[in-house]
Amino acid sequence: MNETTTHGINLSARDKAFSKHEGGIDPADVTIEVKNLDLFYGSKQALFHINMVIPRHQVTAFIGPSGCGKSTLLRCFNRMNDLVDGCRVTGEILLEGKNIYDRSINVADLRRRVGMVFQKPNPFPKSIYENVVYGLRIQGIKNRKILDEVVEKSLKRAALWEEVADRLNDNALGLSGGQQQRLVIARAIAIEPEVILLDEPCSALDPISTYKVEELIYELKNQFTIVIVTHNMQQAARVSDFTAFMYLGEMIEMQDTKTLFTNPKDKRTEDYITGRYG
Amino acid sequence: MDRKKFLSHISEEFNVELETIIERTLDMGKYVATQVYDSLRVLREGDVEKAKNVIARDAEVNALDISISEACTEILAIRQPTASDLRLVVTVNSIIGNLERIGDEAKKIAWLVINNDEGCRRVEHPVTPVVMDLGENILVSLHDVLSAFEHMELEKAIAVIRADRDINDKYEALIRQLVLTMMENSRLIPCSLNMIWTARSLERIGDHIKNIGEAIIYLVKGKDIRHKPIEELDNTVFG
Repeated sequence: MNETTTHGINLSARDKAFSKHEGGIDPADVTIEVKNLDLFYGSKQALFHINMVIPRHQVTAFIGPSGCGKSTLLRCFNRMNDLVDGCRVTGEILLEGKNIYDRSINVADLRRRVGMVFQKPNPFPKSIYENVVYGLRIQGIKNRKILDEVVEKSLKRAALWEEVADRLNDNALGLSGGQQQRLVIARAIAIEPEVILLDEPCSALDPISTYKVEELIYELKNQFTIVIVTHNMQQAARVSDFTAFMYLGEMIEMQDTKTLFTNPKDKRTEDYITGRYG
Repeated sequence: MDRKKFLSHISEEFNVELETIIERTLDMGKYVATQVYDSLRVLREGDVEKAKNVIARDAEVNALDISISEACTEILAIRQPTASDLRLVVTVNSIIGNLERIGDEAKKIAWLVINNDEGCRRVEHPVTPVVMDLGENILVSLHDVLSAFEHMELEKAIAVIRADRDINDKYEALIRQLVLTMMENSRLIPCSLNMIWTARSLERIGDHIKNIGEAIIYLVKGKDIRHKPIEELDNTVFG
């Protein structure tokens, strides 16, 4: 909702967010904190001493050239890298203050709290309805009324309800690419995660579907903390509140997005975002 | 800031586009500086024909403004520049806008010469040397600010901004002198009123030069120093 200044000038939520970020991130507003993170694939080190924070209910974008480690870092946040043979992680990632690499952490529970959406839409070969309630069914929820409510709420939040309300029992694979991606997002938010990780969510979509997903991201940040990996710098500039630039496995610079795209501090960031020879 | 950095993109065509808007802005700056110089010469000589030439040439300034502005818009739409590239395009847009208004002020000075009655044109007004002195300051500042842009020099841009204070002081002293002249000799009132308008135009040119200096600081440092007190200039730029 818009507010006005004492002089009657409208301040959009985004303006306020910008002015807030210019002063840095309040520790109380941090959802994820990464401390001295190193990651190895076998003997090859892929991430080097990453230290950063992910602010709550904001969109943080990771940008950087291919192979710089941004998807690897993203996958650390819900321990998807555990599934990779020979992957070893040192350092800490604190989710709401608790290290997710601690032995006491239940990984299934972690992934419920930290949902993920991939580059290519991956709906299950089931109905639209069953895709959305999949996570809840795994949790043992069978009450039809609850499931119906979650389906409607999740699809509305994912801006897909209007398009599929009258065909919830149709196979999800019959949806368009953009609709499938929003369905997958609906499936991710149905179980009310705290964080949503998006790994190149629009790279397989046409521009209109991309704008719909971007608008969705903007809406969803009110309820979720969002981290997005993208190769599309304009997309990072459009949707994110903070942007982090990675290069050769290092976190080079993280700034509020406005500053990073107008006045980056590090020459490597500037060279990358302006398309210069490194 | 090294201007060569705008030539180091992977896209050679983008390099050319950025270099072109820089060069064309400098060309426009030189053209406008000539207009200001000519308008002052016309004022001193009272030459109506040359004044008409100054007015006619303003169309060229306007055409340059439109054409460079279009080039900037194309770059924004097609290249979606970021960081220093974005700041360059924004700065060029600001500079050409200010140069166009400087051109308008030069045209106004030429108009005043044409509108002056014959008596004013023939006899040198007592404050004419002071107006010329102010005009000289303006031309030096205009030259300096264009040079600051050409070489993307922060210190020179700061010096130009500071120099605007001297220009304002001179303008105020000139106005006081004109008021005294009018009080002492009522026959000089019509000519003095035109001199006030001329002085006002020069002072406005000084403000536009200062705006250009501020735009250059934004280009080089990424800091917006507009509307900040001059006393805080160093802190704002280097802090």
